[in-house]
Amino acid sequence: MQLSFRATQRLYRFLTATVLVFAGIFALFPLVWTGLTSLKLNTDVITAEMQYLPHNPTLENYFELWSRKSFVTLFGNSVVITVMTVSLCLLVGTSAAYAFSRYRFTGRNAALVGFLLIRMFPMVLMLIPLFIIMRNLNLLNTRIGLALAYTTFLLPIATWMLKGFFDAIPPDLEDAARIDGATRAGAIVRVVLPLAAPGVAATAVLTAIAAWNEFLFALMFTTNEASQTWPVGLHLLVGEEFNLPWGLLSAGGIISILPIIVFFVLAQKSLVRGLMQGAVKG
Amino acid sequence: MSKLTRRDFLKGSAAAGAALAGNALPGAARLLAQDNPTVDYWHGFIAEFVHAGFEVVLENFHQANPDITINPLTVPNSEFMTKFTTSVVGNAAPDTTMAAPTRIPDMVAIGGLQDISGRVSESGLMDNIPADRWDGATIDGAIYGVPSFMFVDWMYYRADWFEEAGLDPPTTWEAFTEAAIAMTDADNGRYGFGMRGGNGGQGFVVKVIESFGSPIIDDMGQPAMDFDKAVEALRWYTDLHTVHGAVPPSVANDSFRQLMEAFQTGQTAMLWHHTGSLAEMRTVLGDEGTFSTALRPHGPEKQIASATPSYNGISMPGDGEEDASWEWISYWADINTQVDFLELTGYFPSSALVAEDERVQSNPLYAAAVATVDEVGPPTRFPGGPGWERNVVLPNFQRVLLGEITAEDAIELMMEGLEEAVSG
Repeated sequence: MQLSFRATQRLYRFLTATVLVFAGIFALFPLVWTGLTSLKLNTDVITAEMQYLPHNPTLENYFELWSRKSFVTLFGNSVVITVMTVSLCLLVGTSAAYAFSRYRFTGRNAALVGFLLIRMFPMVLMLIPLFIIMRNLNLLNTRIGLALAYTTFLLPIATWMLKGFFDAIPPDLEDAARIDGATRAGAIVRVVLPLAAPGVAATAVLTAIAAWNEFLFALMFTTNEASQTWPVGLHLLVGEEFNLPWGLLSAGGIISILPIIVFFVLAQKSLVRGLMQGAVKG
Repeated sequence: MSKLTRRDFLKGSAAAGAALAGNALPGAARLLAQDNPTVDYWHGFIAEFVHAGFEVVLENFHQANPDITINPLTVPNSEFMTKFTTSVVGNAAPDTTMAAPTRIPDMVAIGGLQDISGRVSESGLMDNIPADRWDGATIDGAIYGVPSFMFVDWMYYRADWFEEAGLDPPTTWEAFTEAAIAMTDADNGRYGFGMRGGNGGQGFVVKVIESFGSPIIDDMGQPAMDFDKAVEALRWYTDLHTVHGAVPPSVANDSFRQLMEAFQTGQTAMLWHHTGSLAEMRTVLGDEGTFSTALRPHGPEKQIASATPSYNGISMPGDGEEDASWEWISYWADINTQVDFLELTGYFPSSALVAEDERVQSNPLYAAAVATVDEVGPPTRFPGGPGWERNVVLPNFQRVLLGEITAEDAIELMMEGLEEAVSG
């Protein structure tokens, strides 16, 4: 039996929708499960029979996390360090990316490859040299120290991303601004950056996510609880093998992703435009 | 006079800054350290109830030594060696640190622990802490750590179920099989034994093999497994699942959390672990007789158990902080400190005086640990051992549980792997 064109289209649409629904469930289920667990008491989590929905939904886990003396410090440190890292990466990355995009200078390609090379090394290999540098500069246990450490591995990716966005903007637009009397800096600020705003937003979001979730450097470069970040604090708050409070851990997980979700929602429009712009450059 | 360039100015500023940071501050710190030393201490007391016990020890120490300030830092177990190594290489290691016996050789090799043999022999600590409990921190005759507490292997069992069935906790491997079968009611989701077939299960397999009379290595550190005895041991252990069905069907994936929660929710009747989980068990199941503790059963040759001490060592104390560092780590060896810590955490004292302590004598839950430490020593350790257990013993044990290979095949593979592990 041969299907009509319309029936074939309907079948394709149905199959597509089915696949997407399953993919959606696959992607969202862990998040939903974490959210539900965060609303359960431990007695509802550890049961002989699986309980999907909390019998007695409670925000107790969130209140308990909030009441921990270190919560505000950890969260505040993470916010400040993330903002500093994003600012550094955008400031330096924008300048570097613009230079790589517009100028042809000796060593340009080598420098670009060098940026990529840094990303190819496992972060753990950078620990000891960075630790020694930071110790000698008295940057251990400081927010700026961690922001600089994060910048070492996030700046290359930010620069490469931004270069792609700058490449997609025709230099003729800048030339036109220059002819109209704008300086090079004026043309960048008034013409290039507004056009590259979606790309800058996309870079900022990805950089922020990486900085917010970073664990290894935050653990290695801090030696007191006042300078630790949220991922480290969460790891230490919830315990290890001998005592694992699932509800508290889940509440911490939900709190961890909230700032990123808020940031993502705010930047969503620019982010999507930016990702597509970078993808179709040239 | 020559002109001051911008480069000269920057150089001068950097030099001045370095001088201030490198000399002036440590100088002031040294003066302060001599009067009121601050001792950094890295530890792994993460779980809430263990941390609460640690806080009590800190408070008691501070009352006994008001001039010394302890600056503790919790370091996750999984990242400890990375952080410690980085700090030692960066010349910023803590004054004192907790040290697991499996890590001490590496910590000593990178210069991260000081030889404290002299202080130990002068202190008299060896009078109360038996000689074999120092072994894990002794390298080439030099002592690098003071035993602070021990994880003593024992067994939890559902006292209410055993009483209902009119059974005593099993003391031998044959009785253990019978009890596991008797307690199993698979139709109602109840099993006799919570076997660790997932991550961490390898240590149990090794202890079972040793309890059947097969050593792992000899005195020269060479492979010494006895094929027949090892096969008999592994077959007995895996038969609990493959023949008797006395362990949950999820056994090959069951690790510590799954086993604890299965026991606590009434799915298993017996569970092997050590004293470190007592506080959680008491919190969840209470002290009303729902559960109790017992010695792990004996195999044909010896008990399926060991006692693993944890140590505190001196790493890189600052000027004037050596004595304070010693005060701190030796404070952990005091019997009162150890029993306080035991009461809050279940972490068992390393001091032999524990058996005479009234608090320990009056609590029947501790009796199994007191009896076990008299009988067993630390677990078998050798270079390459942890990797062999994790990468060879565990997967082949799991394959037997899943019916993919026989106990004979598994032991053969384990012996081949052992040869490779020992030869490096």
